[in-house]
Amino acid sequence: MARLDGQVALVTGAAAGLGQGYAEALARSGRHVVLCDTRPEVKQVARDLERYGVRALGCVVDVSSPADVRRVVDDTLADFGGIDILIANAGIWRGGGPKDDLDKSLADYDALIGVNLRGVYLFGRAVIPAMIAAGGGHIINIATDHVHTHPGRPTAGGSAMDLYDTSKWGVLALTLTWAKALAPHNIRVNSFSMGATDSHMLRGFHNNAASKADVATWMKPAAVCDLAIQMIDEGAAGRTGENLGVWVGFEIELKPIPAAKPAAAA
Amino acid sequence: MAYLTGRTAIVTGAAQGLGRAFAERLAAEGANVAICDIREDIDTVGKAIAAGGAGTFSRAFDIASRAACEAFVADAAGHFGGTDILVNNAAVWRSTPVTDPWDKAAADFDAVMDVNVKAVMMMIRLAVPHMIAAGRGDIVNISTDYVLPKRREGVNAPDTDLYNASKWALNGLTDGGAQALAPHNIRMNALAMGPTDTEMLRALFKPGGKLAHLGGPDGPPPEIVAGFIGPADIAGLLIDLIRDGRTGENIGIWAGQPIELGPRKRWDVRIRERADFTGQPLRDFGPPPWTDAPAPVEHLVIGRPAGS
Repeated sequence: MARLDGQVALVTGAAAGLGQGYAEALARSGRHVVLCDTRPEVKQVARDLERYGVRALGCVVDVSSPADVRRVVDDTLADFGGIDILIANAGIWRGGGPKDDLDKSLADYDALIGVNLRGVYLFGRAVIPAMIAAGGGHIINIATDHVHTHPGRPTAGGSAMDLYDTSKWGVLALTLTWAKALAPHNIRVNSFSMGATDSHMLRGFHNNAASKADVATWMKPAAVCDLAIQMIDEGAAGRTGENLGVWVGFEIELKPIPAAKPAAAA
Repeated sequence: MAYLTGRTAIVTGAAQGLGRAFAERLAAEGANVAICDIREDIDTVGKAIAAGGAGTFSRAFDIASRAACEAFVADAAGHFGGTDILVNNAAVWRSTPVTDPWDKAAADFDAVMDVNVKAVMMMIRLAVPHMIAAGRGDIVNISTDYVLPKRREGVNAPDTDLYNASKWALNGLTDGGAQALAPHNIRMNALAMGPTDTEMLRALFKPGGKLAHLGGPDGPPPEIVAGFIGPADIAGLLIDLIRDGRTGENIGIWAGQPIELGPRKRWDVRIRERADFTGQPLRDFGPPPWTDAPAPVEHLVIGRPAGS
């Protein structure tokens, strides 16, 4: 099918929270959006975004499944004509540590590594060839402030989430590696190391019983999502390989954009 | 009496290279060694170490197999009456360019992660109960210098995204695990090193390898090998680290540069100084678990920089 006017963005974990916020910010800025989530309500979330005058499609996808990822990416390429932007946002949280028994730890490993790391890897690997063919693109992977901490805070989310942190350190490595590998193709890859943000995951962490006072300290998705749009709008000469610390109560420090980008490979 | 007499060390991936050097050095320090590898000749290595007088226990199996890991740790601990040192050395490396076909890309994920991350997690979970029972323990994860912020942008190779991710991911196990285990007198650190003279590295210089243009049928030429870090040197550093007392550290090892262990510190002090402390309350990790460790070797220099 012929290329639609306007860019096409794919957002994972988009039925609620940050992912929904990214999808809305992208739609508001004129991008067509494909929203992925395991929760079927993603379809309604997508329909609601069409009020911005863009195409929006909700897909029920398990990001840890290669078959699911391949299918949604192929369908998007066929239907929308390309993928310019990927925001790999889907993530889950589980507590745990080295004293857990192996049954629990392996279940946690499969869930956390599957969604948080394999999901980011698979979506990236599925869209990268299309972005290379199209001559550019932008990938944002969502990590955690446990791997890039605000001043005064040690790395790690404490003593009881080693596998969650394991998955997110891996995401950071994918960002750094892909940024380097894809710079010659005008594809930029960045991460957000997020502090506490009002989301399905964080509300679940608080057993869906967080106090209003707690919630008031969390970042709101809309503010963070505008930051994503800002980075995407930097265009081909913009930042890449950055892991932005998005921390509660701290200013977000954006390093200056390098004056000249290394020449693209012939 | 040797320093580690009466203690038992598990070393994974010990048939060659670094793992074998770790096992040999731990045995030389008096420890019993339980060694494993996917290679069948691990038993030959076990016999060679046993000939030096150390207690050895060896078995060939795939470290990604849960049942095999469970049996190995249980049998090794049964054989020696416990286990107090675990060196997670086994790893795989594979080239995974971002332009790989989809089927390879999808299959590569588990092939790399199962060995480099999941197996490390399994071995930690299996060894920790024995260490808690013994009232002490040392876990050392073998990583790479990619993961250290000092060099992070320079050395993450662009065509090994999964290998890079697997080694960065170990930071999560080391960081969180060290905090969780400190009250049990169990320490967890990582050794993060540059090119070390191992079969994994030499294979890159053989025909078909990524660096074949620099090597020949037998691998890298002597002048390049001379620049590698030696496994025996790293093994010496492992002993220093076990003697030393710090925990939760990634120790960076670059050829030809000083290894900066820095002064030994309590965990909470280390956190305070590492991160420009601004006043948040600190977790209480209890009294320092290390009380009688001798001072480590500081500022060791091993290998030499490539090209010099």
